[in-house]
Amino acid sequence: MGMSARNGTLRWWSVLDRKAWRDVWHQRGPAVAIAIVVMVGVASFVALQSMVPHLRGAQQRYYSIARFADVWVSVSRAPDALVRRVADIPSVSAVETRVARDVILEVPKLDGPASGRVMSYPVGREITVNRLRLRQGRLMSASRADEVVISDGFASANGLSVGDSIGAALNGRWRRLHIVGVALTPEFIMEVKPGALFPDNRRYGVLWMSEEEVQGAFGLQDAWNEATLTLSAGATEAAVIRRLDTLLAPYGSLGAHGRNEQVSHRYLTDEITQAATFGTAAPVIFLGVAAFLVNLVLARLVAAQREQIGMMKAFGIGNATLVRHYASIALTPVLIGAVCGSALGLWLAGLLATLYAAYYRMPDAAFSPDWRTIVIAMAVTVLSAFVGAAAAVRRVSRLPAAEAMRPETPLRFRHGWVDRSWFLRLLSPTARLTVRGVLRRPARAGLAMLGMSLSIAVVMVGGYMFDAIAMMRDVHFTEIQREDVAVTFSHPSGRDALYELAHVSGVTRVEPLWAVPVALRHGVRERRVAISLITPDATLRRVVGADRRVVAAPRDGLLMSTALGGLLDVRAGDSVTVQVLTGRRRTVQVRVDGLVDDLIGTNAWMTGAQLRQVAGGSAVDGAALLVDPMLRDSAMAQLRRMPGVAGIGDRAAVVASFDKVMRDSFYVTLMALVGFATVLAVGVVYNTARVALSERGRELVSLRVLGFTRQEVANMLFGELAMLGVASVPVGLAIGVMLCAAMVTALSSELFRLPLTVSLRTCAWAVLVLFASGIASLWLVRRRLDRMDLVAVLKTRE
Amino acid sequence: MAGDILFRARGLSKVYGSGTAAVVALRDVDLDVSAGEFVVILGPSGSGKSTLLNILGGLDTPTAGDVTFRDHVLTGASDDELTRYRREHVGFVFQFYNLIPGLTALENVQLVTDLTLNDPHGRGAEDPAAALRLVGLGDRLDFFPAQLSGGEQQRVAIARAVAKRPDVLLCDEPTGALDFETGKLVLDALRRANRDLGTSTVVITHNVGIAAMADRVLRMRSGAIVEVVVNTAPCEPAALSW
Repeated sequence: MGMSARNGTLRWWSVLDRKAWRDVWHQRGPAVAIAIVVMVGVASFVALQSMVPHLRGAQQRYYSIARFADVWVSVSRAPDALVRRVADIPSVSAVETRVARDVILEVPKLDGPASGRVMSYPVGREITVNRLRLRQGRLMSASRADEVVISDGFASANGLSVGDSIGAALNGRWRRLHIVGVALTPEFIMEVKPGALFPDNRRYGVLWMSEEEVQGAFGLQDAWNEATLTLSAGATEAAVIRRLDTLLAPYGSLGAHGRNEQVSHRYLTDEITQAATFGTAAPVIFLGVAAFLVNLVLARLVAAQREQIGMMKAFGIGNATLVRHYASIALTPVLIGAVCGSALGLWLAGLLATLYAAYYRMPDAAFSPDWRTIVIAMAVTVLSAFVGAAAAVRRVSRLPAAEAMRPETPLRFRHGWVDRSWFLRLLSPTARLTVRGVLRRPARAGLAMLGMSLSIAVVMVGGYMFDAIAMMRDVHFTEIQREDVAVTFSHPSGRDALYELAHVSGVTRVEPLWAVPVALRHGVRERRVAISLITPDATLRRVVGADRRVVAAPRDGLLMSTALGGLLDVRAGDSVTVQVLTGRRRTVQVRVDGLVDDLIGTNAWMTGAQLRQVAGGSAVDGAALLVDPMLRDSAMAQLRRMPGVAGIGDRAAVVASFDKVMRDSFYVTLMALVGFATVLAVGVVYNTARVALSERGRELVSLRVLGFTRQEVANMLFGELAMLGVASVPVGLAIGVMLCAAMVTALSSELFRLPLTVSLRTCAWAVLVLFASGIASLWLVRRRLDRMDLVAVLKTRE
Repeated sequence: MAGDILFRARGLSKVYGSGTAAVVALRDVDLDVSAGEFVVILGPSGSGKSTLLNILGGLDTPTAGDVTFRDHVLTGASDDELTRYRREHVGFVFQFYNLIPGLTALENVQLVTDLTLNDPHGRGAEDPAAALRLVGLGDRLDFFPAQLSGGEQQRVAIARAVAKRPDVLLCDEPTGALDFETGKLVLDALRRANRDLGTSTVVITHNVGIAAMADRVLRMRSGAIVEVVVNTAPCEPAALSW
């Protein structure tokens, strides 16, 4: 609030300030609506933007304390002595090697199989890369072979703690392992099973066992199959990777990669980027709408107070004082909203931090407020309020005193093209009034419609996320993966492994799975992927595009994901170089037969004959099975005991836990977005209706005097808003689709592409929320209209 | 022109507020208005004439006393009943016209005639254009209020009021915002509606000059009718002067 100078003394609470407060109080309905819209905008900004430094800080601190690796490489077998040569590569500051293998787990109280990654750990020595941080218990001791440390996410999801034990099939031999510790690792901040769509902490975990044990169990004495490296500052990652690949090629290297291909790192980094994106998009929408509402309400206030402004100017109150006065009226609800929004935002940030802490396994994730975010939020909010207030305040300063004291000339309706059109002549006077009202103030009508459209769009974006995921789920789990159980072998095996599976009682169909790790090259571009087997008569594993059409096996050559084609700059008909990363590591030229517009991963496929030719031999590394439901349990038990089986995937269990995660988060997200959209819709509809009531209340109440019923008069007042509301449906749906398309671009990655599909349910929700909150807002305004004094209107001019 | 009794008011009192803040607006007023009569109620501001008009128009209710319109008892009627009463029987003319700026002269009238046409109890309405011709605005049908002078706007308001063929026209300072010449045009329009359509008319004003055109003049002071003058030879509005 301003100060006024009188007789050289400053008074902090001038008469004008009192007027400002009373004006705000008198307009408290619209003021509260503005404050709430601002509050939601600021809260979303503060909550999401403060997650960015929070998560990034926690990530970086953890990475640095735990010495998170810069480079990873897998080989089939390399002797311990080779470590020295790895460490000698320039810029490598530390190297750790290990034996890491996928295993099947048996978890007490868990229905169905779980799988995990067992890693060797050097007992009695602290490792220098990807250090563990114990949450519970201790590391394993050298004397006990069956001790294991398990990952925190897996432990808490299954209620496992020190003293419990789990079963694990190490190279086909079942062992009972005693949990002595629960630990965090920077490699699995997000414990996602490779190839899985989402983390399923109950069915996938990481285990550390003594080096000696793991090497012994997998027949890799004095050898390793994975190395992790940290690099010195200023190192060129690509150069190190090139040297590593050359050095380790003879040992069956699948090619080294940096953090950008590390799944957990990718998930967390993408999450931070998303928080920043949503933390920018949401406030832009809300503060934009708030600016419009400030403009709407203040412009009306200035118009209604013309004569007062003229009087004050006539008495010599300066322009600057008046501008400050009206700006302070506009700023009051905005500042109240911003302060409440900051408090709410901080509270939500604390809540989000807790949620993230449950999801991302990091130590030291306590949230501390980021004051810079608050300052930025305040500055941006005040700026948007000024933008909103600018036009009305300018009118105050431009208004000549003498003119201001005359009443405002009524809206100067003139005959436009619409009046001459046949269309208008068909309408009743009430309907004509509505059409003219919209055309008379096209900018205001347009902005009000845009505000309502945004309410629709906000719900659509939220609903769309679930629609997209549901479609990915459907395509993935009903079109592509149709088996009951998928078995992975610890080593590529001959086709006789399939016959063995077929003899398991209860197994009714067996289809081979085979994925050959390769490097694909086209020009200067290179990508490491696996070429999977595509079988023409397969029914359990098929290649299906986003359009749900089953892709036929190529007669010769390679099929690949459109996404992979984009990365390699390859079109159908082009030829690519395929270097096989296993066995004899042959290099061959293969023609790309076609691209498949699929949703998940960067995939490549070949028929069995082709793949045998490229890989230089015949093998399978897994199988998709159909199992008779009656014999399911015994079949599973038999599969678990088969040597050479490294993993068992139960499709129904995976789908069930996927659906549960989605169901749980769907309603929370939907409610949040419905809340957001309601705030937008109520803010726009209520304030537009209030301003319309203020402008037209008198003429409408005189119609009441003339014998119009309350309903008839309300229809005239709200006709315009109803028309804008109906018009905002297609506009809102269009904006919603555009925002969804923007999300497709923003969120799609090599891991998955979001399909652009919006369900009818989502659209219906979006429209329903707008209409429900619109009707509620109009009901509030209608009560004011009903209570307007019929007698007063006869006497007063304004 | 006196015929059946249209309004019958007995012992009307109106007190605003209570206790020491109580303001008595009407005290024990008796009044009859006959069908087709042109009544002018004169009085300074605060004399209670507006309160009386509002009670007759079904906009306000008396604190004590009874009003009947033909066989309708207005006192104690519900809000919906009063709305129906205004809709079917009463035409209002306001001091500040109160036209809808977004509708042309013709449409402002149509708005009200449509209401009557859609009403099963209504007796039909004038043709809106004819109503405007009656008040001398036959050439202004498609003008918006902002394109009309004050007197023209008031005549649109009169056309709007008479077009639905009300039983009574209640006018609150109809010339209050107008200059002398324009005011006489407006009064002429009122007179014509009264003569040609037989509409009873009650005009409240503090303008003594208007009294000469009335069939009967009531003078009010401090909430009471202090004088009643029956005008045996009302003069034409053109001959008025003030």
